[in-house]
Amino acid sequence: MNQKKLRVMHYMNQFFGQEGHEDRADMKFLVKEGPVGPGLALQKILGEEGEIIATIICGDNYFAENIHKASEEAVKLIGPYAPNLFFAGPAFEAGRYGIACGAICKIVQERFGIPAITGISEENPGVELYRRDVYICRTERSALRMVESLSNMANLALKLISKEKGSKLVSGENIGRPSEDGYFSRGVVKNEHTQKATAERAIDILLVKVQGKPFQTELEMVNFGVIKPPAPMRKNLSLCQIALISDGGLVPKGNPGGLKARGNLVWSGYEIENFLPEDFSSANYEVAHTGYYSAHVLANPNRLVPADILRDLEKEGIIGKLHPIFYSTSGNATDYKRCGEMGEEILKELKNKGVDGAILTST
Amino acid sequence: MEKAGFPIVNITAVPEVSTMLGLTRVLKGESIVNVLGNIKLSKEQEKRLRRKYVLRALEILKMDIKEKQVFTLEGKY
Amino acid sequence: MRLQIDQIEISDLKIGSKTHVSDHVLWVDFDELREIILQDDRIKAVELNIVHPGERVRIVNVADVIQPRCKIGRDNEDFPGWLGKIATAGRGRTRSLRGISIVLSNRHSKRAYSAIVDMFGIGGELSTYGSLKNISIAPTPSENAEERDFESAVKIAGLKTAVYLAQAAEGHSIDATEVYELNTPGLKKSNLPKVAYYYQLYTPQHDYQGISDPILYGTEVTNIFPTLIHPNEVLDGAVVNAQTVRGMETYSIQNHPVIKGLYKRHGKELDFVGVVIGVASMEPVQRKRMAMMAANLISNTLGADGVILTKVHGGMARVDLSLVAEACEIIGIKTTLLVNLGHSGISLAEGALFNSEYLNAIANVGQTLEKVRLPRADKILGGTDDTVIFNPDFVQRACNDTIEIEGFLLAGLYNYLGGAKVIAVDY
Repeated sequence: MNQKKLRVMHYMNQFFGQEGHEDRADMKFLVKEGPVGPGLALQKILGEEGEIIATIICGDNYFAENIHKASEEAVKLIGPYAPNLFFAGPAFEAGRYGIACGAICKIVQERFGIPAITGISEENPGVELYRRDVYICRTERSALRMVESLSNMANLALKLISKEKGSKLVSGENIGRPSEDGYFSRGVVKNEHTQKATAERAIDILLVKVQGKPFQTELEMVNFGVIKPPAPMRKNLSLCQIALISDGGLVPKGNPGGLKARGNLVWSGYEIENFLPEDFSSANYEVAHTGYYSAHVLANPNRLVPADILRDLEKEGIIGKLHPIFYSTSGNATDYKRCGEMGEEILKELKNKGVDGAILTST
Repeated sequence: MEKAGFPIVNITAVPEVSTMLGLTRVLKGESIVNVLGNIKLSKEQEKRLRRKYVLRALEILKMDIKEKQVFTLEGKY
Repeated sequence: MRLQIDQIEISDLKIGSKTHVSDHVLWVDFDELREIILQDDRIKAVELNIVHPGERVRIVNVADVIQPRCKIGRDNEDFPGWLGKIATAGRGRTRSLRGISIVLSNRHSKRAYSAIVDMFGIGGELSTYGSLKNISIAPTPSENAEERDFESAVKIAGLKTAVYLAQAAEGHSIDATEVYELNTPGLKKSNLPKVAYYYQLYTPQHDYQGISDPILYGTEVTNIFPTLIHPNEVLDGAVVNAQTVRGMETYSIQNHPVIKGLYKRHGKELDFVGVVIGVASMEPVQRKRMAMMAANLISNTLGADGVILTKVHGGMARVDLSLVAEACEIIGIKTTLLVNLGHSGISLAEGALFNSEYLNAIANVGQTLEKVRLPRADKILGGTDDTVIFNPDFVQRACNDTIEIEGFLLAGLYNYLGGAKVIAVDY
């Protein structure tokens, strides 16, 4: 039961804020007292539950061209009003507006610890950029169903604020699944209580499947897509510089790079002459990776990072050069997207140093 | 890195995961805990085995690949 | 083969001068129990405690949870290969005590992490063992006891206690009788679908010190070829949990949810044709070989139309299971797998770690790494206030005001055999 009325703030762009059209897309922040434009409809929906005390307006270009700066500015303007609930948009299909809504909700959540909700349509880039950070209600492309979208956003907000115990295992939150409550998947997996134990559900599913009837799986596959095979190394092998990379978590003793043994997000580069010399000592290494038994690798790190062979091949003139830096990361329960980013980061270095090809060893 | 067109070969004992992710140059390694080694062999034999793997990897880096493949020391997986 | 399990409901657990059950109350003579446990010269001393739900107690360094059970009328056949002589488990009569469990702690464990049981708060609510009356056992090694040897001694202490307590209920009235009878060779023809169970017993990927834990009739199973086992053997002590609790304990194996579930529907909605056991492989070709052989047993020997598959904790275990399932699907056997999500912060699909059009029927046992925040305990058993409770990001101790653990380390929260009423959902 809410004893006090919620103090609500609402963000919108120059158009919905009644300041102009594309001509004012560069306008800076402006705060108006009370609800504006679609905020009037939102106020009606909120009724006695909350009062829109102020509306913060900004030009789509101004925000989208410098998201970081604009977000910080917004925070400074919002702070003094001390809202306990925040709404942005809905932006529908407007790309820059969607990005601004996502960004402002994200920073408001982070800085003020209050729920910040927006509404955007599916193909709007703001969705993919921010859905993991922020509750984004699914809207249609056109702004025709403004009131419906605002209702959806308001309902979700009130659920978040309500103290009822829900079916979530850990937090007891009251939020329904994305499809139920009309928001985009946050990309988070949560555990829920069920009536039947998994074993029973599994047998239920199998009995339907065996009969050739349609069944519902509890885990969908994702298609990771097709990668076009990169062209091979064109130069003569004896002229090629080869780099060694590994996700087996091999690091110097003490783990100075701070690689995590699970859920790691970083990589480190080590000068291979110092890191894995010919006369290495097992005592100088550790493995930051809980997903495999590491004694063999520690006994001889060349088993994971074949520097010994590449050195020989360089001496023999079979390859041009072993790239002097070894790149180490730990690939145990690591976020798939972050892995891609790390690959990009390492590739930048390889390209700068004229590396022709690389060997990535995995456990 | 492959998406950016860079030639890289992944030596792994779990090629299924690499293939699922769409990696195009994958070389099946020895075992999870010892991807380029084998404790049953003597030091010299092990080094020779490792050399074979590395040479195979380099060979794969020089190959023109049309679609994703998993290689072994001898041929295809 | 026919197994009858006589269940006796225990309403309370107390310390007494003589071990016996009367009026559903189990009295335990700690002196006698201690003496029995100390017969093993690898154990120097043992801490025994009784805990009830609601007490603000946290049991740490949990190496296993076991249900008290003993064979009736069969001498020296309890937990064959561990305590008893080599004998077939799963036949005759077994006495079982419900409502209590034995929580076994190895306070000297050097393994990377171990489980906990909370008897109170959210931990007590979430874990099945938090609502039972439990006896906590924490042995101390003698000076010259070798580490792995001591782990076995701890397991044996737990199993001995299981037998000791169940034997104390001799003569007491029985509250429920469960009968498990399966005779695959003699199965009558029917129109029901034939369903088998593929039981992945183990993965060596996490082997502590590179040595596998013994789990089948007292021995390790790494590198065994897939083979057949009667489901009753699993229910009756042929299989115990490995030396770490990770989403599975001996208790859950003794009450194997998939096996019990298939038995329940046997002759009604399906014909339960049998169990194939296998082990995850570390080496790619061996993995394919084992998967093929398992699928062949399920198809050629058991004649199954469909198969349920379960795994143990681990990413490689997941890959291995998916290969077995694929091998089955390719030869026309329909599969349904029970798997966990092992990543946090990404969607169900991204965390799946395998991708095959064949693996379209999956029941999920939950996101086993989701963290649980637990409140302060007043008392720690099986360790000390300073015992480190594993968290991947920081160091925390048993007596902290709050601790945060990954779900699979709260014993009884998740269960890879499908015993928990949980599902992981995309949010």
